[in-house]
Amino acid sequence: MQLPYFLSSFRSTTNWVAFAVTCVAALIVWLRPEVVLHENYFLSLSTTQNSRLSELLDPVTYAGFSSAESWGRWSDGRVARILTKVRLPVVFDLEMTGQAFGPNAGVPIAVCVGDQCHDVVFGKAPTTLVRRFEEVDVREIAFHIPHPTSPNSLGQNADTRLLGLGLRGLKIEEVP
Amino acid sequence: MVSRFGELEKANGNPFLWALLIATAIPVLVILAIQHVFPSSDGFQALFVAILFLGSGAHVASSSFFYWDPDARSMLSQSPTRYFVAPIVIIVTLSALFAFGSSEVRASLTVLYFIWQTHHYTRQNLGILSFASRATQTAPPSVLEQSAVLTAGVGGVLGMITLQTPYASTVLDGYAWEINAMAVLVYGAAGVLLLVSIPNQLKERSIWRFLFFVLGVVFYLPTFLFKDVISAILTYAIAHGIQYLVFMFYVAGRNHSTASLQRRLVTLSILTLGGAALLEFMQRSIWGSLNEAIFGAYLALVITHFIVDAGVWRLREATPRAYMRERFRFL
Repeated sequence: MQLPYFLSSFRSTTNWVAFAVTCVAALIVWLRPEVVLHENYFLSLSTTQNSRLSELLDPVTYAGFSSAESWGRWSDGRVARILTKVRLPVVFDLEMTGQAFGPNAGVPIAVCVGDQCHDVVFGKAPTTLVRRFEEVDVREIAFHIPHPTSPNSLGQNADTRLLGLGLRGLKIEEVP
Repeated sequence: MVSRFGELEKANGNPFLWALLIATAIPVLVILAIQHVFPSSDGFQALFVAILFLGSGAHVASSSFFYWDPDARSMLSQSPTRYFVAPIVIIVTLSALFAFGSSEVRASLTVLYFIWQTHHYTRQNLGILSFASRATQTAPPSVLEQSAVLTAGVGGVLGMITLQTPYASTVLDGYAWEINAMAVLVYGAAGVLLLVSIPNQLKERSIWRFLFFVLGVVFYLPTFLFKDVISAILTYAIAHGIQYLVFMFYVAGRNHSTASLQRRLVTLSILTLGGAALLEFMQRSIWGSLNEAIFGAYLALVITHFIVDAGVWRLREATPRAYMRERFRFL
């Protein structure tokens, strides 16, 4: 019997192979985020996104951050944003590990997810702070830097980046 | 010259395969050169505009030739629902949905459109592999080979979504990482299928066949290498369009008297350039309150191109096979 062309696709072994491969990939991906979400979602910010492949597989994209260093990333400018590629839990604790640069040490830095903002105060040495966010429907975490300052302007070295927050790690923990 | 594939076969001189190869290589090389080597070269920019025009709207418009050509029209008439009713229904429906639907509806339809478009490229890659195997008088593509090309296409579709489409305004929002990870896994699996297919390719001893098979799998590689949409997507999208024009040149230009040939090529050119201009204007925001409806109609016309192509090139069916055999002598 002659099937309509869109139904005849179901008779094609080739289509079934591609479909099976896609299903296996979906299964692998479906299982993995559960693991990373509950353990340590963003283990380190030192992952470089200098290739399309690394960018594809990084769960976040960065804006207003300098390039990755071995320990993490410096914010560069007045607002540093992290856009998550996955849905954030309804209620979660955001655990941030980092240090402030220059005049930003000891002063509040606003961390916002959607319209919910909390102040965090980092010193010059690495510190870990936790803030809770609830019922946020956006996937952008923004750090508002009060005094973006370059090491060059402080006479430290030739670095002209406008540093503020050195983020070493970011962890999202779902609150049941 | 004898290669690992044995004697370079008769088809090596086949202008069709050479034309396809050049049609694939030129857009990719020109676009990558503009993006990464000579970004300020006026010559390359002019070439870029030309191939962009030919590879996008022009190639879509060229398929209207099937509605003009009496032989093709009689073939289309055998499935009036598919070739005449469905396009009208799709044009009316998409125009209405874009005119009256919410922004989320429009975004979802656009995502589906891009998925179909990318899959359409994969179907052409499978077709090219089939044509290459016939041109080189080797065995038809095996299930494994076709699976490699099709699976690469699925990887390409997944990799394209977060780069090119308004997925963030649809239910896919928040799943970019999952989509990207699936893209990498599926495309990697296609690479494995390619490697597994190589013994079969060596057995066939045809470098052309091997070339177009590998090309079908690596077609979407730019998606996984480049961050900018032009390098990552437009390279293969335009290559697809220029390849298609090669096919249409053969469809219009073969097995006819000189006078008839001239008339057919002139008609193809008019339909291609005129249709491309129309499609270009339909995409622009110059229609006031009708902007969305016209854009919906534009997408519907391109979808008609997908529908027509999925039928007229279907060589396993007798009527399209007979039509194409008159135009591609090696079939």
